[in-house]
Amino acid sequence: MLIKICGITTPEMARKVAASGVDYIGLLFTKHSPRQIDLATAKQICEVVKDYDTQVVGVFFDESLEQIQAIDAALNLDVIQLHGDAPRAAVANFTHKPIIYVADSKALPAELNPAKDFILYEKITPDSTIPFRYFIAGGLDKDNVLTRIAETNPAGVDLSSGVEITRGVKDYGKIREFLALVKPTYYGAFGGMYVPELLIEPLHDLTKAYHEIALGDEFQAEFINLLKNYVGRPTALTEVKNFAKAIGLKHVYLKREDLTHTGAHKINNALGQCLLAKKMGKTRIIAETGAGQHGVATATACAMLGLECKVYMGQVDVERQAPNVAKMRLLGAEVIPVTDGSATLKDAVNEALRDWASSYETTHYCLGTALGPYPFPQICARFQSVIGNEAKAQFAEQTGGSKPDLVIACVGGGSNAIGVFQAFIPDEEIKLVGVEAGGYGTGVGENAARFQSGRLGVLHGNRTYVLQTQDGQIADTHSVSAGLDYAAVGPQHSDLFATARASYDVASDQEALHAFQLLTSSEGIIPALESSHALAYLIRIAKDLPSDCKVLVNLSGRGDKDLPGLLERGLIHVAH
Amino acid sequence: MSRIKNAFANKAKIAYLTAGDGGGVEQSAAYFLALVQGGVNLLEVGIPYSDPVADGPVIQAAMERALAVNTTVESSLEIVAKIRAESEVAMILFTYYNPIQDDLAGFLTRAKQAGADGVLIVDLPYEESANYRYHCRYLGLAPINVIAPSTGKARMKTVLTGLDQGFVYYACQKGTTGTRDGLPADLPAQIAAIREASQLPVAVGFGVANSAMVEQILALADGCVVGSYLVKQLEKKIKPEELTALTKDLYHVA
Repeated sequence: MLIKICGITTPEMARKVAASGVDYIGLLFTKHSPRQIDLATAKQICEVVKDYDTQVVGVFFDESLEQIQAIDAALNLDVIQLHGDAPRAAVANFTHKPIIYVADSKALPAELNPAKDFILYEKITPDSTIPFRYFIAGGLDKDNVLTRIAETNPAGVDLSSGVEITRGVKDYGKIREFLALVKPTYYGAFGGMYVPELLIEPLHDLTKAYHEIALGDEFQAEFINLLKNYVGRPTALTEVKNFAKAIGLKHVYLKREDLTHTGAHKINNALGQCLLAKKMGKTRIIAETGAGQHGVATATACAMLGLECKVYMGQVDVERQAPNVAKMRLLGAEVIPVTDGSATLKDAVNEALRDWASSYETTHYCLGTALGPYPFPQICARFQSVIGNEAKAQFAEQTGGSKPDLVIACVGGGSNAIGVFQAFIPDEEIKLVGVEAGGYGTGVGENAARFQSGRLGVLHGNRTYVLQTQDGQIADTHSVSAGLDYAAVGPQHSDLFATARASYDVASDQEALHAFQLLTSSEGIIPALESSHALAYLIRIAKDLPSDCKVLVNLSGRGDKDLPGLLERGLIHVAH
Repeated sequence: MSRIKNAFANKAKIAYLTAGDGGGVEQSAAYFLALVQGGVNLLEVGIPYSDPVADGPVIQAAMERALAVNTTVESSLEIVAKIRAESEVAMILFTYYNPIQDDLAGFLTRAKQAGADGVLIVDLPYEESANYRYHCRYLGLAPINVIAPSTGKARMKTVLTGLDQGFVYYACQKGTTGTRDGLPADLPAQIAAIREASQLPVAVGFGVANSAMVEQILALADGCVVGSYLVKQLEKKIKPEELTALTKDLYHVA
């Protein structure tokens, strides 16, 4: 479904609307509109929108052909929209660009070129069987839009006053509400269901089960009970004064996901999904794993719930996370080393998807992070939301009612980060920072810094930022930490990045190793290499923060799993 | 598009190879033309991709071989153009979405110019396909839609309604591409359900491994796709003329 929003009047409004994932924005030049803009403003708007996929529509009412040509020449519009009194035939002759004709009768405009043009039905109900693309407009609001779409089967919806606070002032909250209704599988411009046809119905079944079972009271009660009495939640919020002092800060708090049963946040999601799978009647679970934390969590949940478990893990990761491989096998899971491609997390996901394509009737794919085709990002984010919800309450309790100024988490696929961020997204004054793996350099294959590459793509079922070659092949990635070593990032993070609600930075292998040792020696807490990236970022920027800045870092997991590999490779040293 | 119609006029014999497999543009085109010599009347030209999640080991390996000799989207289109210069055989491109998503309209335009008659994007299901379908219609390319064993009757209608070009590709097995021992028992019922939802011809593929299976499929459907079985021959470094002979046997072409 295409979304067009008309009457954009400022560059800032254009940026925010475009960043939300809106497909078209309409600019009005007629003096009869309260949303009229001049050419200079329109130029600024076009400049701002270039950074997004959003197309600019020039909306014309009674302008002459010469005026329309002049505006198009100045702005290089993507699309031209013509209302009743505009010189339709003349415009159709001068441009090859798509034209949106506003319908004034049931009859199709004589100039319509169905291969590129649209019709816009404002007051007339379209004939839903016509094979042309059309928008519907007029009086659409969040209460009627889905019914109107079902009745008229349009290619897109055109909104203006329905998403305004007052005339001419857009309400970004309302725009987001509309987007969520009309594109339910997306976060703004990111997400979706890019999978072979074979997997669509299994994904629909999972979506249905998620809504009908997992969000129900009975399931939630059982899940919360398991989180408390099996996982050991709530996990602690620990103020780390020594570490803070060492880096020149006063208030640093760690959310201790390392203290969960199995030693990382992954158990929250794995337990939720395996419990859901059991209620769906599935008898077998498959999972991918990078660092092995999700594999261990899934194997644990399966052992407890009596489910068969098979874990796909890249050969490189099997070698660098040996303790977790042994644990999974001890827990009764079958671990399949994947030797294809780069033999890391991406290749493990490929194999898990291939398995699911033949086994979906009996098997649930317990995807370990907040990405993949919808509904996986949604499900994972929901099961991980406990992290942020607890941390927010604990932070207030320990600090006399205050909130953190800065929340930091490492981002591989992004599940621990989205888990902690969610609770703070509505508090716009709180800065949210995700930290990606900077590896050992900025070249392709030397890191896993998706946002730094700035390239959009589709990997493992969702549209998001993806590390890839010039030719659109998925790039090899590198990180010292297996859990961050992945070419794509969860779609909700891409949306937070595009809308500037969160920012994303990197920490290098070396910085992460330093942070690993500093937290261990100053606080007696051995962090996972993944979580060490979040700490490393804080160490680097600490000097630029006010010393009384209140910082919350999500310590996503513990570092026991990393020790043998690090010692063996001589990456850390232990005094004898 | 009449080329696709012609191919289905008397049972479409469809064969898949990965573009660039067999070594570079010239050699790859020679293999495709060898298939045509062997009686194939609809070629499916696969664009290699690093992460082909819908494919089994045989086609994965073919894609790796093709990428190892630097096959790109553009050189795949060169192969299509080379085949088109020699033959009026019907031709569709098979691709994953990522290598073409940056400039979908541009890719489809170049595919049309190179001589393709249709395009199948394996990981672009109906939900995400509005733009692709629209551009195909605009350019006169057939959007080839896959129906899977998991696709229910209601969804078949949703996916296939309004399509009047090309054919329906029924991928008759669960799982990934790769040869199987036999055909699924529900094949006749599934083909009947597809015919209820669409007037388009129906081709069946996935797992076809011998001439007996080809015969069974062509008795039920309008076309039969063979992929991994042929790709496997390239892995064995078969010569083009041998591929022609083998294809004749497979499709019972004199």
